[in-house]
Amino acid sequence: MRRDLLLEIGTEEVPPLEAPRLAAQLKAAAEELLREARVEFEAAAVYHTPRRLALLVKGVAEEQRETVEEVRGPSQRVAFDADGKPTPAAIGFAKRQGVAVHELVVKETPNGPYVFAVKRTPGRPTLELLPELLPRMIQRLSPSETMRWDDSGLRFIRPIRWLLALFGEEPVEFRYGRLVARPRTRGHRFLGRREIEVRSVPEYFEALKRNGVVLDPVERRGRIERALETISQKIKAHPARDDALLDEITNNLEHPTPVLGSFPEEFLALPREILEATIVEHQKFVPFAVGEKAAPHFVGFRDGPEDRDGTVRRGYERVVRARLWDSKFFFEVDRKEPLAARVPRLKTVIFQERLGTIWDKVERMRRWGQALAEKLSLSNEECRAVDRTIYLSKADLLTAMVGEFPDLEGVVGGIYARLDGEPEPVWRGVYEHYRPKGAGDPLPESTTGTIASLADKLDTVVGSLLLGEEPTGSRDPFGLRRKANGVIRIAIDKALDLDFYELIRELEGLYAFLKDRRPLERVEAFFHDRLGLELRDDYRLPYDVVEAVLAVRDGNFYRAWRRAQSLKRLRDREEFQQLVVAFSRVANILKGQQVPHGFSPQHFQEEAERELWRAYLKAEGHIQKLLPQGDYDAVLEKLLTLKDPIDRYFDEVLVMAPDPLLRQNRLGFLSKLKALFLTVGDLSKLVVEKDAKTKTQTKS
Amino acid sequence: MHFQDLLLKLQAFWRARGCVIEQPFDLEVGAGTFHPATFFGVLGPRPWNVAYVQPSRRPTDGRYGDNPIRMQFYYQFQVILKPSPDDVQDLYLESLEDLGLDLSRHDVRFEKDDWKSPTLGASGLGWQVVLDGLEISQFTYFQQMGGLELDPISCELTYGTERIAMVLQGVETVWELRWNDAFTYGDLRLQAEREGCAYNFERADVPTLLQLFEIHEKESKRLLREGLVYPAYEHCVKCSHLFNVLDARRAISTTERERFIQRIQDLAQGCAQLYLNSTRQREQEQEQEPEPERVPAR
Repeated sequence: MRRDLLLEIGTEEVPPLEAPRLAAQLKAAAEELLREARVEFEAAAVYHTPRRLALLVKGVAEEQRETVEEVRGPSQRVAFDADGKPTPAAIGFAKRQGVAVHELVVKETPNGPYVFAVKRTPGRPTLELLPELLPRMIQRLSPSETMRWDDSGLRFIRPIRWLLALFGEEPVEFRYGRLVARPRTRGHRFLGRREIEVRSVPEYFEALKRNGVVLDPVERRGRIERALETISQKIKAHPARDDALLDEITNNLEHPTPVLGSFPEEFLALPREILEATIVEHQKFVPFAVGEKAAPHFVGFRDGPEDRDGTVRRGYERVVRARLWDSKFFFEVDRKEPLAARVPRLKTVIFQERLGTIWDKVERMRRWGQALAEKLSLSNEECRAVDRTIYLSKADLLTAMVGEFPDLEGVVGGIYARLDGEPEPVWRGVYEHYRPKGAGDPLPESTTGTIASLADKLDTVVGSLLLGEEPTGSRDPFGLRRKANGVIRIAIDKALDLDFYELIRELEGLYAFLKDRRPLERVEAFFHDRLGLELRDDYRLPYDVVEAVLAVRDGNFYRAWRRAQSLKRLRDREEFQQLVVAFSRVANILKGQQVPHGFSPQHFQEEAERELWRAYLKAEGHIQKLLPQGDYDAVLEKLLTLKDPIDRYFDEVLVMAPDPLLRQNRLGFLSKLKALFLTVGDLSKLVVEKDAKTKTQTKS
Repeated sequence: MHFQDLLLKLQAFWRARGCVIEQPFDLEVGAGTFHPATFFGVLGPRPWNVAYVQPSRRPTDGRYGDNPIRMQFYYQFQVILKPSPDDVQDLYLESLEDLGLDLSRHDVRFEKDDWKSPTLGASGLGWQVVLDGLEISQFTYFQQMGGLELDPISCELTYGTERIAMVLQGVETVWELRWNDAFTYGDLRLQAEREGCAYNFERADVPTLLQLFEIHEKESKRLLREGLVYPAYEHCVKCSHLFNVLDARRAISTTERERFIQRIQDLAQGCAQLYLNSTRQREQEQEQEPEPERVPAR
């Protein structure tokens, strides 16, 4: 016999981003705790609305699995006499273990046959366990922020107001804070009854449906999408696609019902981005467009029944008008002077206390931009566009629009620059220069935007790190991690073949005015860490490959990625695995040695030495030609030619020769050999299959 | 319903639920939270339920009376329930119904809004209540005030009275609201609003304001040293308003801004701490005094 388990946590409105997270945590907690308690179940599912988290575990066993414990007693020889009768030793043991003497069993052990007591503890009924398990499930939830609401000491994202728990048709009673779980739920605030008695798990789902709650977020999302579809056919316009917005609407309502509204066409004169931001950011309504042009419609989703008499629509429209009116007001105020006229006033806006004003920042960004443009060999015309882009990039911080919609920074500047008649590369560059704002955000498309974005991020990251403002734990007020990740992603995805550490060293002078500067080493170490994380998490490269690549500190992020790609491609080939082993021998013998600079091939004594030297020269010649193009696959192929000579070398040559001169000469050569491998990475960090290792090792 | 009746009705509703009906604080404030009945009332263990109208000033929100719903001066209705009752959301919704709102016809939502007042060193979690898309209330479980963790937790309900009245009267702009039979909201407030905006955005004399800020800050600090909580707090509130006008005048750069806020917060925290210390001291003194023999009065 199996039953379904239901737990409902009734809350006051949980913020939309939080509900799905908490639901996922509830599922994980339930699965883990049931498993720990040895309660079998078929499957767990969770649902959420702003006012409830519901857990449904299907097919839960009536009882815990029994436990079987075997306790060793005396040896068979001691336990039974010659007639096979139990001795007092056996009888005493059985008694102590609480089993009957005839239940004792004899089992073979490494020390001979022994007597065992097999103790079976039957599982407790699940219904008895649940009052302990369910509160622990709730306790395991960890919201992103917590509050108190009464004197129970409980903390949660918003107050928990009721708890319902059913095991099949049986209510599970437990206490949590000041609450007692009861077989009672609540309906939709305005569509259902306040309190509903629930007698079974199926009845719960029925009751919610009848009382206006669409419990399953997938179903709500479906309703929302279908409603938008129907409306877009009706008004011949398409909704502006925005998954984050639709998710938020889905998570925010128990009973989504569309309300179509319109606004006066005069507001269509506003730039589309501003128009949509006004409707989306403030109202969470879905804007519409026809082709590339905004349409004077929006859809809001109300939490409740159909808006038959238009009360809600009129309300929505009034607010949208007022909001658009405000945006228009900001727009007109902003347009009274060109963007460029604002730039000098950036001298009054502080960027970061010790790093000076935004104006100072822009001046530094221009230097970064210039250096980047030179390294990327841009034309004179492009260089001028980059400089103009950067010059204008921050001016929108002084606009009323960005004051109102901080997320539109850059976008507003780009729009205003376009309206001011700036050339396309310039306004596009300004428009895109905050990208990427986070993981998954698109990169700038224009060259100007790319360089302005790099200049912006590099200035903030380098300047802050030189000040010692390193992020710690969850504290990263300047978003340095995100910005460094942005630099790395741009470098890799745009194939920027340049050494960022070199660039940073060249421009360190820009920060000479800072007192108590941290060493530049800290900046490189920071980027190096970020590079590792990016390669692993965003570019999905195996851990050991990333380790191998990072062992060589290289500010050319694009090349680091290329090197990793090549290593990943080749690492599973058997001969390559053997090369890894061969290289590891080189690396190991050099470990902890004072390695001299230079060596002399004339002092080679063994044939194996000379053979490896010749192989080295040949490979090195090729590799030097391959490196500029970054063809690391080919470099690795050339390194493969060294595998056999290395193996032979280690078989025949005593590197640690008693003669110090000879020893030094050999170590010097091996160190040079190692350096050639390091142009791709430290191969000894790669995890190879065991037999690859033993195969070569048995040879030696 | 006339605007004036809405204010009266809210007072009657909360009076019937055991609130002290206070009167507005007599200084310029940005919100009802600044009223000592809230700022001090939520500190310490003593239960306290209070409601009042608080005229509030938000200089940067001014639009010269052109915007239908935004202005730099308006009437908040503030309720503090300490400790916060379990059915506080229902109580709040009941108060809306009491005003004549049919909640099944309207769209009422509790939208996440984590409230912070850096100048008061206050924070809480809660929502803005949105009625047909229009933000009509702030609903907050206070967690901190004056930098101090609160116990018990108070719930603050702040009604945007004009906006609720607009929905009830079905008017397009706040200025058309009927205050009573004879006057509109605009009749009473429009000229003051326009001139207030002109002052806040254009005419306020920055050097004078900066000087005043210094003076009030100094006074507040001195009074804190001398142990006068309320007067010290009043000067702190003065500083807060002066800062808001300076901000509207765009006289404060980003970093200066942080520093100004910090200065006000220091005063507010000093006041909260001093208030708690002095009430604790008073309670201890009362405990130590022997109970006087009481003769029942006849």
